[in-house]
Amino acid sequence: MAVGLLGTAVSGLQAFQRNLETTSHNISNVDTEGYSRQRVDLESRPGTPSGAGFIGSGVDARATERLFDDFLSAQVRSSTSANAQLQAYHEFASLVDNRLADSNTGLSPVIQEFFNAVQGLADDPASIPSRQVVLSQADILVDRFQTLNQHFEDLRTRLNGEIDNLLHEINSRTAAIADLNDGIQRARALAGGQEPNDLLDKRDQLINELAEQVAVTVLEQDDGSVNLLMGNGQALVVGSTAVTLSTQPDALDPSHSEILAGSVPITQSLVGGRIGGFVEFREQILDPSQNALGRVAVGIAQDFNSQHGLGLDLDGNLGGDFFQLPAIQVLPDRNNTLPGATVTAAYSNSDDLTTSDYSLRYDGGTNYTLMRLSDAQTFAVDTAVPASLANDGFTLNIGVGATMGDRFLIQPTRNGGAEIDRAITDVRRVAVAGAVRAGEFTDVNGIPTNTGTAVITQPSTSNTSNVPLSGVSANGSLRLTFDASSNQFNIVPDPALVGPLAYDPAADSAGKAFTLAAYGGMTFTLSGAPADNDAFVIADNSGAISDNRNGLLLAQLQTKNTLAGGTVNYQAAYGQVLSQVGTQTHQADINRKAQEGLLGQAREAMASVSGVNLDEEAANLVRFQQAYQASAQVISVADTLFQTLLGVVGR
Amino acid sequence: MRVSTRLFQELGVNAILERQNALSKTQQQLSTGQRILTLADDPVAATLTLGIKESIEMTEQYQTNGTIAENRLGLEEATLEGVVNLLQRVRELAVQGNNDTLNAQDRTTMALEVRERLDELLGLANTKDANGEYLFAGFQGRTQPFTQPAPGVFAYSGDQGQRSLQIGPDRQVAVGDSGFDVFVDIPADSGGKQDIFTTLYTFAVDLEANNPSGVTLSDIDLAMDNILNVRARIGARQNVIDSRRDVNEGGLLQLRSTLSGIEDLDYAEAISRFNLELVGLEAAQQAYVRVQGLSLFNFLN
Repeated sequence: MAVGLLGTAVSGLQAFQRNLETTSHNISNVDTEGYSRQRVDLESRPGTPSGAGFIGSGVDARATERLFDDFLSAQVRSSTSANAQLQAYHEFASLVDNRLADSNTGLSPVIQEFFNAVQGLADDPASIPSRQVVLSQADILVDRFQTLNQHFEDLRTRLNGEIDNLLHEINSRTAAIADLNDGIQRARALAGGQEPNDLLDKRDQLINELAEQVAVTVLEQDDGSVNLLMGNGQALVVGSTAVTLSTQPDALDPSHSEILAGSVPITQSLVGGRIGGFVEFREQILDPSQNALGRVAVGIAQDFNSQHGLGLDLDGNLGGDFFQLPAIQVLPDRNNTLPGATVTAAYSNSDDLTTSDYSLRYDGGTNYTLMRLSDAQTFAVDTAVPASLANDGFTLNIGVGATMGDRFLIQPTRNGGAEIDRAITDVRRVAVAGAVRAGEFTDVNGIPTNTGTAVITQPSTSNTSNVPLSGVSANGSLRLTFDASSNQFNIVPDPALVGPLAYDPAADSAGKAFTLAAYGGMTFTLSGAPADNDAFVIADNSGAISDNRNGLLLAQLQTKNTLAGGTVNYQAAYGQVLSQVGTQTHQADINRKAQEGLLGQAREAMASVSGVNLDEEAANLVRFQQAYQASAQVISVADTLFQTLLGVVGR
Repeated sequence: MRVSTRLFQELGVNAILERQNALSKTQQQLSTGQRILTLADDPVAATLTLGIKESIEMTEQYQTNGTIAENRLGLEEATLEGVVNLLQRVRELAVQGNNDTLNAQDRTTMALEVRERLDELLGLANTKDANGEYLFAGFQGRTQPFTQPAPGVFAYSGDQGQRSLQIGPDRQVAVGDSGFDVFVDIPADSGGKQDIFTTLYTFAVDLEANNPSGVTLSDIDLAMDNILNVRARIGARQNVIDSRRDVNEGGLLQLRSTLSGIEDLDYAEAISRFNLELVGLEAAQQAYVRVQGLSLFNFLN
């Protein structure tokens, strides 16, 4: 009887001692990251049958279980991934956003100042200081392009570095998880099927930390280990083996890293987590923004150079290149069969440039496929017919010698911001005068001889064919003489045979426009009533230091819609980039805050199940202490009973 | 629902951090006076302000161009006024010269003045501006437009070009007239064209030969008409510049007030928000202190 009593009491002592130990463990781990509170599972011992019924024999501590909800844990994990992704995206997007829009370091103010300088020169075309200001402002403009581009490049390098670091962290965590998988299996076996709670907690914590880096799916296996998969099923951890992730420069675009699992490229499979955020940032913001910056640079360089080449400088020479035009980058895929074909590209019309990169693939025979990467739009190219292709503002020149499957990356605007530079060096070479001028015919003393009332407007040119006119005319001029008998102006000399120009004084006196395509594409208007043999002279505009016509046209480039298919001007095109980046950053911020809220809720729900509450543990302490004392008291009573018995039967 | 001690702590601290964040942002707004601190704060408005700033800069540039245009036209106008006064004087002489009461000696004396006036006219026609460019040489700013290669022979070495300046997005205004238009392309009484210098030279020669011609007066009148036409054109251009300037000023005012409305901080709203956030922060901090002191362990011993 006393034995039974004693045994029961001792079982109670042991059970409550276990309880106290567990409560103490909970209290010690109140602040431990990832700890799930533990509880001892008590089970009453089976009773011993007797004539008076079953007599209970105490309590056993069956198991120590941790309070953990798989579903809530999965929710926390997925919220963590989503939150980390938006966090990373927003972090980098803000960097771009702040830099681009700053009124001190942005692009718009320097574009304005450059064109202000051009306006200043148009106001005073003979002034050398005004020309110097134009060159200085051009330098500032070029410098700003290069600085902004460098900012993008720095972000790119930093991004690659961050990805490297992330992969190291991922690798170390997956290795630890794989080890834990192994450890848990063995610990289980050692404990005869009992769950190693703390190891499980540790593994879950590691998986949670991993979820911050990349979104993972957890698959529990029967033997207690978990397999981790990411993205579309790529395995990260299988049992006690972890797959090592590494990076190498992307085969097609070496400026960014490609991520390998072992030796298999998996960049596309990486979604969620910080890494997902980085990849998304690069594709949605970094690449398009840098390309858009480059597009503005190419647009300004090409348009300005074209117009500049139509004017005359202070010494009467046709203007040369004002800016150095950037070059289009064509990169052969690293895996192409050498020596392969040579592919080059050149700008055709900057109006049509997009902000996308392109890939060119050889399909065999004379067939290539060109793909615009932003929207995956493809264009078929047949190089049997011209070997060059015109598309989206650039032309390709494709040589022979490619092997089927060879690929090339074409980046028409990526390097625009980096490569734009000022080409003109001499202030006298800024060309603001028109190429040709017109007037009434005058004698050797400049006295007019016309007797009619016709007048001619100053011509503007659109190309340089046969300009300067001294190339086709000994005295550098064309004389238009009116023949009243046939109502036409005869042109002398006229090697390109554009004349005669029909003009009827009766019908055309309000004004008739002419374009001489073969002579610089010059356009002018004749009006009024010429008399027979009245003449006009169109001559090379030599000595015209006070002429600002080309300067006016150069200044007008600022407000002409010359980009994006002719819909926006330079500052508006840049503004579009800013607007897009700003909106995306704003959107990311909103999403991030929402996701933070969701994550908070998930964590609260999980903490409600698994978290340690000190007050509760304090109450438990009191409870188990009382129970222990009660059991101890039972032992004391059992002892008293035994002593009493001994006292009764002893002599 | 259970609350874990750890999360309880975290929530309290986070609340304080959030309040601090909001307060910090408002503080920045107050100290810079800007409602929009980064593009992402209000992307639509921020892009709008970019566009408005560009318009303001362009309009200011047009105003600058307008001022330069006015200056140049003012100089041309003043020079031509001198020319008109000169021609009026010569006209007087022409009327006088036809008077039969004069003798050869008188006419020779008059001829001297006419020759003086001719030189003065040549000087006016070869006026340079402040930068050393000839006003009346067309595009040939460094070439002296009017010379006298031989006695009685006058040559125009400029061209027939005319400079314009941009005073509005689609508005250009001419800021000069070529010497050809002003002094050379003048109809002659006897048909054809005759420049103003030849008219005066012929007048002087006629006077010296004691043979004044009636044609001279008509030629002088035709020349005067031409100058007056040019002056009228200058006046019209100055009017265009003036009205353009007013339009631009109005535009600038509108743009600047729109910009201010979008960009500038509403201080009243910001300050009351600031006070509210201060109160919120204090409340969060005090609540934290009060709650963190409570624990069952304080009451057990």
